[in-house]
Amino acid sequence: MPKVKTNRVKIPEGWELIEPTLRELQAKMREAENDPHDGKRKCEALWPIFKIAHQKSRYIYDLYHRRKEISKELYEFCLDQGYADRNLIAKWKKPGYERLCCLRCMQPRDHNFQTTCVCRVPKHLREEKVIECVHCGCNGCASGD
Amino acid sequence: MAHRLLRDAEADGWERSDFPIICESCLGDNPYVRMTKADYDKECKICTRPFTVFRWRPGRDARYKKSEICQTCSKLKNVCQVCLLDLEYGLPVQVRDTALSIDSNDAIPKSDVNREYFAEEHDRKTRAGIDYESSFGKARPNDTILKLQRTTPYYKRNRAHVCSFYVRGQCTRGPECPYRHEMPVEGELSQQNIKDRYYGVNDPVAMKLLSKAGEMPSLEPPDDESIRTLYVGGLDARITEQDLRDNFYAHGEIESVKMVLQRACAFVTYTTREGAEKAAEELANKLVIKGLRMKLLWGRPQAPKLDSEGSDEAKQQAAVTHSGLLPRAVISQQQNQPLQAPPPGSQTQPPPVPYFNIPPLPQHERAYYPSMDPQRMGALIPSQDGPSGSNENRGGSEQQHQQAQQYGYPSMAPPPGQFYPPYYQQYGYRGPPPPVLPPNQQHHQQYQGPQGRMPAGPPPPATGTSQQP
Repeated sequence: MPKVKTNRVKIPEGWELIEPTLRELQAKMREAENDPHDGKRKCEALWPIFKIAHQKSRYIYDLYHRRKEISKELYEFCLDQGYADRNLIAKWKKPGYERLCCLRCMQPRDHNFQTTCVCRVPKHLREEKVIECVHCGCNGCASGD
Repeated sequence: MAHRLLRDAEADGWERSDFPIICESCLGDNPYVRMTKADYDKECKICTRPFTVFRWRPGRDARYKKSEICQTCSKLKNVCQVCLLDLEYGLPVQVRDTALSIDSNDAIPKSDVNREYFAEEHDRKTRAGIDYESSFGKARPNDTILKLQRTTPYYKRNRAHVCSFYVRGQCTRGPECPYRHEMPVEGELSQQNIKDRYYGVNDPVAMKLLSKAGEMPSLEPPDDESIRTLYVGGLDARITEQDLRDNFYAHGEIESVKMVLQRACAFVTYTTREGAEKAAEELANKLVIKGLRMKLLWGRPQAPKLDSEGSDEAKQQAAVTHSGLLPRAVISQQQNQPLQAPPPGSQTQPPPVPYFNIPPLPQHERAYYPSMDPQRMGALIPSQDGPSGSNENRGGSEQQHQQAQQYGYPSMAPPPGQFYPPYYQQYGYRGPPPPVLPPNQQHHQQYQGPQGRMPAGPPPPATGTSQQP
């Protein structure tokens, strides 16, 4: 058999510092995936998934863009390995989307009348104050509140 | 190439439409409503054929509503596609059909293939533009319908459904739960079936309405034989005196119509007691003008006001007590006399015999001739006073409009001493006999300007006072 080139991951420095947190978050995600669906609505069962995905991405985004504690190499490594969502972080860099909950909520193509999800509306402009958006269970991710 | 279509415009014959056939209540109070349209989304609940489903939210505190039956079915019975109530009257099919004695039930098959075939045939005929017989446009509303119909939209039916988890005590959604957290109202009316409602058979709501219609109380004529005035409540700014006249003239000769816009009511006085009774009997629960339902009661004689410039609160108090008391006038006038609105001058108990506490005015003798009274309609003395009599009437009622001092009804000329005093009170403060002069002046002025009716009203009294000898 010809020699098959495999890609071996080269872990950059600084990985040991962030690894424990990332492992914890992964475990949390595993738990959420295996949770039974009893007593929950169909959409409600998916909310923890979105929440934890947001949390993971948030952690890495904070480390690199806000606190600047990891190197670019490590940051790219995390994104490539799937510890954070690149597209979601891209949105967080834009003004007005700093607290975006998930990518579905701001996609007009996914909604009737080409609007966004209600969680994107600031609380002072909404009529109902307490909401849980149907996609990700978000309470309100407008940048103002 | 563009004119040749591969498919011949949906040859399957399924229903497509542009806008739903719905009633005002179902459409909602918001003029800006966003509606989604989904072709062939669901099957009609009656004929089970696919149709275009429209979905919208009828107002802020409403749930989303969607059309439940297809347009063919709704046109057959002239009902709203959502609530299955009649489009014109808002009544269940059974009520409308029994009231108008329509019976098309035999013609519409109710089962299986027959039903689908009938619906398709009907649909095809409509689309081809063949005039089929629709009796709904031609039917004139009869008594029962007028009594029962809804005149204003009813938005309570657009509320969210009751939260079934809350009923069991298990609602975990808390404040964000979009369903109503109330206990459901149980009863015979809760067991309704859409097919029963549509065909007008065995509908509990309809049966309740029909029995209620049979028992609606009729307006009892009051004991005091001299009352020839009807109180009409529930007025609106759009309703004019002419509307009231149009509705009331058929039952007898109208002596006067006084509108009190501040209290949203009017008083219609007939020249004869029989006319008033006839009007009360015919119009009691059925009076609907310009889509607004009117409340009809007997009027009560007013206590005369000592002060024509009574304070606003006193006027309102007088009016309020009157509106509150008017229904009871029907029963016994004597009992209610002490409770009549006190004249603003005396806020405490009015004198027990209110008509005689005003000393007769010097004009009393002079205005004794009925034709001199601007309120009097029609001529006793022919020729000159005839047309001026009717002119006076218009002018007189408008003068009263302007002044709006009293909330009773305008005086009825003939019984002297009883109702004269309140009427002449108004003029008493403007000086001696303007009632005599303005008719002549109006007479002349109105000949000059055809549209000078309204403005001719107030100026003549004003000029009348200045021109008095």
